[in-house]
Amino acid sequence: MANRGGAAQRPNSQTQGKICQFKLVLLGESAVGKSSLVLRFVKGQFHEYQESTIGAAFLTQTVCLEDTTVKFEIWDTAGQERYHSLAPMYYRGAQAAIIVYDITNMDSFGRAKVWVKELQRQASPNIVIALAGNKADLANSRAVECDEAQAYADENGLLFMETSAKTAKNVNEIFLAIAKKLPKNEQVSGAGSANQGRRLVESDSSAKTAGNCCK
Amino acid sequence: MAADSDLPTNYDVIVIGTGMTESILAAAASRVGKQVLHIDSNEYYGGLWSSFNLENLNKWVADCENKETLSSDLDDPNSDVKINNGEDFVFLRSQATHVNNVDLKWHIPKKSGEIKVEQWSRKSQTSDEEEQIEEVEVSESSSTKETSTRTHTNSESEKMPSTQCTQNSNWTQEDIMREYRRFNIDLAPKLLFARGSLVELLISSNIARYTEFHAVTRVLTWLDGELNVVPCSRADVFATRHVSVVEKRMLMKLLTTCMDTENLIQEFQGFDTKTFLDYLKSKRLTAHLLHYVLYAIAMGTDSTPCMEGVERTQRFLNSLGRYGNTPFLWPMYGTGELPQAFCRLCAVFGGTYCLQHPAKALVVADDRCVGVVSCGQRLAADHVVMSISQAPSNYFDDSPVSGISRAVFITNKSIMPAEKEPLTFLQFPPGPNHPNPVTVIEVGPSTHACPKGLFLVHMTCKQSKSAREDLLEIAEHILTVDDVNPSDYDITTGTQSTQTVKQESNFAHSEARGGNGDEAATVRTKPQVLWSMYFDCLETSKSNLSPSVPQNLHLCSGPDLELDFEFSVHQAEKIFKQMYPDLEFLPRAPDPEEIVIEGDSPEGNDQEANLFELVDQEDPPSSGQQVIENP
Repeated sequence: MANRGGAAQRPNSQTQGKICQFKLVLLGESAVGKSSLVLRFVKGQFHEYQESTIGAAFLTQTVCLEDTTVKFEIWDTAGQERYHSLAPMYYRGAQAAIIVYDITNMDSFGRAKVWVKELQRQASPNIVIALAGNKADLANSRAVECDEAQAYADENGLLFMETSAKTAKNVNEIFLAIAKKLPKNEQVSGAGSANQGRRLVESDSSAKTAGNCCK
Repeated sequence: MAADSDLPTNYDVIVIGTGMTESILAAAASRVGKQVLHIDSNEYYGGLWSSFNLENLNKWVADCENKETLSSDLDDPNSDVKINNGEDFVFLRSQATHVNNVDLKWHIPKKSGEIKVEQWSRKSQTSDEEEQIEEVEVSESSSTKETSTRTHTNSESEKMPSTQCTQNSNWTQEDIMREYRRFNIDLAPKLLFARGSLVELLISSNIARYTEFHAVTRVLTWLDGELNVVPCSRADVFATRHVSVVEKRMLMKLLTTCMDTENLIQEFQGFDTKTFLDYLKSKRLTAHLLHYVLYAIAMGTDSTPCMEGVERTQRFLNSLGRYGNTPFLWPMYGTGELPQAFCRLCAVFGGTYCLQHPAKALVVADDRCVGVVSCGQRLAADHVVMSISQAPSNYFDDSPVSGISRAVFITNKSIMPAEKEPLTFLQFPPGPNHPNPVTVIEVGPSTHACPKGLFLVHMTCKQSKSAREDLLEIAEHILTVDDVNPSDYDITTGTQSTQTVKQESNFAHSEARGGNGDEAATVRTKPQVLWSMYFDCLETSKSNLSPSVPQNLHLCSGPDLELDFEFSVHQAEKIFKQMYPDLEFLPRAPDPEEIVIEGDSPEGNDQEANLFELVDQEDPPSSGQQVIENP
């Protein structure tokens, strides 16, 4: 409660033009740095021994483009991927996804490819997918070549960057690239796409409650 | 993926099965800091509360039919797991044993010739309005084709017929199976009362953030052999042709009386032992009004006790006007989303999730469950929560005899087409041939229940024979269920009906089914059933547990007959209080903006953080007015 506004200042904070809100999901093997990327982007922080983010349903952060403010609602897996038990609800209505692998771990790259396929099968067809080769600061122990990942991303129409949550390399950039690629038409202030249902929100002491934003 | 890595073996709570009640309990325990392991033998969430796409539904049907093999699998205790003196294995059952009389059937031909496709693409050029609809549909489509075929997908959906113009004969099994991922077919369809326990719980716990809902747009009833809109809002009352001005006042007065809690005792003096029907008769209501109040608003029967009828009426009226024109909400993507939402909260607070991880047996010593045998591991917890459907039969004093009869139909249009896509609740009062009321929920594509141009009709009632025998007759009141051999269809029919659409661009006319000629233009035809499924499922909400159930084993019922989730929410709350009497049940989870991560320094206020609130604006006051007003 004390820190309601803390999230929204970075990377830039002008509000102008229309506001679009998008659901973005993170995917990838355990311990590739999904939560660290989010924390770097949302809070500008990095912790070497980051525990999984207990209690975070999702985090929010805005990115400002020329005439549009893009508000990301960023969903982390909450560890449900560990035993391959991610609920389909997690992808529902996601307009963007970042699939993360660890450049020092070839297996995690293989797993990322599986996630790409999974999303192409299960998610909405217009989803914007970015591939992030994380832990770019550990290039000395690199196991996945940048060229290889780039080629794979090109073949599959994915955005691609090598990132480092530790040094902040390309973290804002990858979110910005996604923001640019997302369709901004008919998305004005909609929670999700225009045909979505409503979220239930807490009512005042009186009988007032949320309405459908799309009316 | 079972056993590709071993799980830690000690927990505060192990939850077996991801049904509604189990999932609420998993969330509640995790939320107050308990270590929770939540496992399910299935590869999907929800158990008998799940929603499936068409392909996964077929798998589920196959599993139900193969239950013999599944249960015999359980007879083999895992030799890796040792038990000590004084301990016993209690083997668990497969959920599938709770499902019977599964009957799945197509009512349309497998495929038709190329001619149909051509017809559709021509048709979509004839109407500008339709083109627009299709454009929106393409940009938001949840279709799940491979990326490489996206362009193709778009051109395909342009050929998809719009809701009003669909003709049965244009659909083939191939058409529908091509869209199989766009279905979310509920095993246990239920509605939420806008002020019911589940809505309040979702909001108070902040789990409401994970799911979205649509308001049910209308309540229908079956009266004098046809469908009638039950007037809920003032707008409905004005719109209805079946209620006179005098009746409207009578209705307002009665409902106002039911809501007047101060004078309730006085008003209902002498009716304690009588039925709600008696009371309504004493008010000299006309037959129509009596029908609306008793069967639709109170959802009662002729024998519903008076005060229960009053309570039900109050519940209905209390929930009006909060989110829409009716008291009900339906979850996007189906009711199977709700257990998942609770599971996510459990995971967010550190719960461990493992699907495809069957529990084969419990280890019981004295009256305590001291272990759970799963995938070659012996796991332990202070409390074990489990679906009743997996419990051995000696845990019940009486094996559940009563069941739920279910039917699902894929149809080609709404049971009562409307300008805007309807979402319908309808309850059939008991009749001469069916002693129990039949609940009908019709959902359309905008809730992601089915592809565009189709509707799903769910029917539920108390089982007396088999689902098919219990429900087919009722279904035939509102749907055309042709049991003809699919091979009887030919391409010619498709051509004819498409031409009908072209000639009569008017929606009213296009409701006519192809081949019916002149008569069809005047008579409103019923939707055609394209696919049907019946099954029976045990109703376990009234099971009497035997004293042999270990005291730290908590059994959760499967789906119950009631329309809403009250039973499940209350059961979860009750069990939680038994487990942790001193802890709060699902306190509010923090909003994203409130999460302070270590080392986080508070920053100044930022208005953008309030965007959520701005997005969720209030209903315009006109849209949800209650029926009560000054006459």
